[in-house]
Amino acid sequence: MSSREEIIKALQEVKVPAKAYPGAFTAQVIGEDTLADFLYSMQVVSTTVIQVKEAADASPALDKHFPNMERVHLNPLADGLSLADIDVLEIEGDFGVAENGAIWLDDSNLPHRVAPFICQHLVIYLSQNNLLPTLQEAYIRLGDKQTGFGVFLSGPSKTADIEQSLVIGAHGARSLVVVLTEC
Amino acid sequence: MRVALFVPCYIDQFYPQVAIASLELLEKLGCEVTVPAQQTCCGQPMANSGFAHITGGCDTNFETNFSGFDYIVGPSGSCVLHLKEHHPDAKIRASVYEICEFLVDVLKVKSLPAYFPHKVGLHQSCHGQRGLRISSMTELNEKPFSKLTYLLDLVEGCEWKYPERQDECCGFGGTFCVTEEAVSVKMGQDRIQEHQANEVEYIVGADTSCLMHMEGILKRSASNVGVKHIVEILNAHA
Amino acid sequence: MHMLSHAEASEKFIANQERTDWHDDTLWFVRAKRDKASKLLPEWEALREQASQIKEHMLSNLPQYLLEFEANAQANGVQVHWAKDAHEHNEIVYSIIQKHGDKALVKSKSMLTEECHLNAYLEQRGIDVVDTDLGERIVQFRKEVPSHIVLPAIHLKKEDVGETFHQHLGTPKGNKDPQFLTEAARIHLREKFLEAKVAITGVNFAVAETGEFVVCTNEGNADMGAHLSDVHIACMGIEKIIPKRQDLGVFLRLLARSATGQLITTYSSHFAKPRAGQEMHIVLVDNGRSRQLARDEFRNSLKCIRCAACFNTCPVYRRSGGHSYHQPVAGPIGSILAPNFDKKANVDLPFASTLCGSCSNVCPVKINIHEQLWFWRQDLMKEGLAPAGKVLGMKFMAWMMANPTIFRMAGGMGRKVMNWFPFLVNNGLNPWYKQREMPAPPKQSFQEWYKSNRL
Ligand code: SF4
Repeated sequence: MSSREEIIKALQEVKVPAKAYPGAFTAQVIGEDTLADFLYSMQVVSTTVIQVKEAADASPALDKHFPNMERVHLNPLADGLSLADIDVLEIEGDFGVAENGAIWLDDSNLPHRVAPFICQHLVIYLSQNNLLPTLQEAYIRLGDKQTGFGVFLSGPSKTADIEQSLVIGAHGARSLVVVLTEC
Repeated sequence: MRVALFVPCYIDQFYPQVAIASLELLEKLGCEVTVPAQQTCCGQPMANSGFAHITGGCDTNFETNFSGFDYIVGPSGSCVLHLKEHHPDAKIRASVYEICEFLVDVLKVKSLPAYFPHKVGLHQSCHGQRGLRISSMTELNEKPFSKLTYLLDLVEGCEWKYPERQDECCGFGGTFCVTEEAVSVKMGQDRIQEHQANEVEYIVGADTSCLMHMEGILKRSASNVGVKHIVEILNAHA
Repeated sequence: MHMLSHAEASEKFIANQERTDWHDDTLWFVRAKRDKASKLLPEWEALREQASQIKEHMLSNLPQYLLEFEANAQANGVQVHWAKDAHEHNEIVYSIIQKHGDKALVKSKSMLTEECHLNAYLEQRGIDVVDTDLGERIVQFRKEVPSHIVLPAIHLKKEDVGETFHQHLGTPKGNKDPQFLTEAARIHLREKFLEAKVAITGVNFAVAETGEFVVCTNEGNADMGAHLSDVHIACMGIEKIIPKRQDLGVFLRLLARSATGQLITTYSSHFAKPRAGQEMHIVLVDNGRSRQLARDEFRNSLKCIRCAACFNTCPVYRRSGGHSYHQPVAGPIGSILAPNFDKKANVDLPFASTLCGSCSNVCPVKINIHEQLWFWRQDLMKEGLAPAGKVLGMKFMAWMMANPTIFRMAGGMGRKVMNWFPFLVNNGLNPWYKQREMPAPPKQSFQEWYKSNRL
């Protein structure tokens, strides 16, 4: 008997009293104002937000934020390793979650899966029409969308493994800027 | 209302004043109180040590002594919790009350002729608090309430304070206090330090075992902070 | 070597009072952050209940969900392996590495691989395992094990880390600035990420409905490893399965808030299919879980999502440190998992608690941890794992308490010596007195007073 069969058999032999699946959980909306909540969460996760009418309007602010740094908008299929040299990577986010500042990115947004992690600084463009109150609405929105890889990303990488002192910039991006567009 | 006073073994032997205050308080509030003479112990010390399987004789003795009353009331949250959770007899489990919850929930006390002009620090013993829900718990997202502070507020002159960590364990824990002596004492010292920072005269709680542990530490350091069971305060008069 | 019991190890830990106070305060602060985060969600308690029910449902249908997960993962192009125990798990991982002829790999946090002692197994076979979580890298350099499942190096101070990095990474002696040391680790580990062909990650949740699995980190190390590697091996205990994708909405709202008070971890990565040209493996590990599932009283311990909230709230853990539990998973949850592996070796752990119940209150999946500690005590003592003196003392106590006359007599005679008292039995040198006084013995017991005043 293979280990697979043995494990399944062992589990089937245990008579666990049946417990029903509780059904979907309805989140209570935390605040009245999804945008305000999102902005608050961004602050909590050490993220700079640039609010503009449309994406192109963000350039001056980004120039100022990343002086003398090259900003790259990547094509799909770039080689993962070569991304290590990129200073500032710009990508499109799919939607954001107000309660925790998480932004959904998946294979359809990403030039390479490692891109948002390996770049030194990350810029995500997001429409404020694509904000959802809680993570639960986010999964409803995601539905059964098939993707090879997807990530809820909330803020720049960080660690507090040394004496619990917060250090921004662990292995992933050192900083995150979210360009929030009106349309 | 026929009430049987349950006096846990160590209170009987070491803290008779707690049992006396309980008796007087209940009588003052109109209860007809019986003290079963052959009572010993609730069985908790053995059960919490992993020996629930040998407490049969103790359980039977408890039942013999305490059957046939409307209520069984005792001044010890942890003993009462043990009975409520583990005593084999359903009637016992249903009728046993910790004295403060009995005062608030059953007697619905609205006032007390008590006077205690001192500043006290409140220790919330875990079994009463988390087990019997004598008060809300800081871990849960629930509305704050406390049967202990409700009662203390009825006492004239009494000012009470929570320690900084409002409901952390004092480290008594039954046999834990000797098998894990180092952690037990450290936990007790830390509680005491927070009470002392509040400049209280007494540490007050509803479980004598926790108080005995903290008193032991206080005395060793020759502190002038004392301990009192809450019933001693509720029964205090000018 | 004699392994120290929890009590012995704690006594050593506490001997350094300053460090103990720091450990206690730091973790209490984490718990306070958890409290704050949880109180900002009006539906917190309902979420816990929901999470608990989903997990209980999963446990009552575990084989079905595992098979569903396997089928969906395979359809996604992932290779699924099954391991009965730690040894088989290690063999599977090693054989995958061997097939690719690699000598080095990067690994992000996985308590399962700690449980299986994978690092030691691979190192014996000449594989260089690089733990990439900062805290885990620190303890790995020091040849220690994590002392906390979320904060692996919480037993160390920045001076310790500075010295370790000085020795292993050549940082300037005496530099203990967390920012600086983190940067040094970033540079060191980037090199490892770029070189490694094989990456191992843990799994926080595996979704039966979709075959995807979710890995949560703040540092981004799991993603750096997985996305740069040619081979990604994800190792998981079989209890990590959840039925549906929508359940992630519940668990991810609870996990980081419970763990550190964060709103969510920086990265919640959903892996479904390997990248073009990449191999993805999942190892499903039983290692005693089916045995625990069969124990009615302890089944619910398998609901655990490893958030460590029970560690941070535990007054004993905070004052004894993770290593005193001599198990990969310490703290209250470790104490109810450990006896399932080895009752005799872990007989001390269910007793390393005052049963205060705080752990059960913070647990996001509502495991009745403190009740299970109590049940393990009964189980272990019934199996005869108590020291002989303790059994005798308890039997004596029980006999006396069943016999009121003897109790009254013993009390009268013994109030001065009190050596019959419940927690003071059978101790020649009574530990109570080491740092405490006993209450002054009263002249009369209550019953004696009652007799002379009321009867
Ligand atoms: S037992 Fe509960 S609180 Fe402890 S780590 Fe597991 S999920 Fe978290």
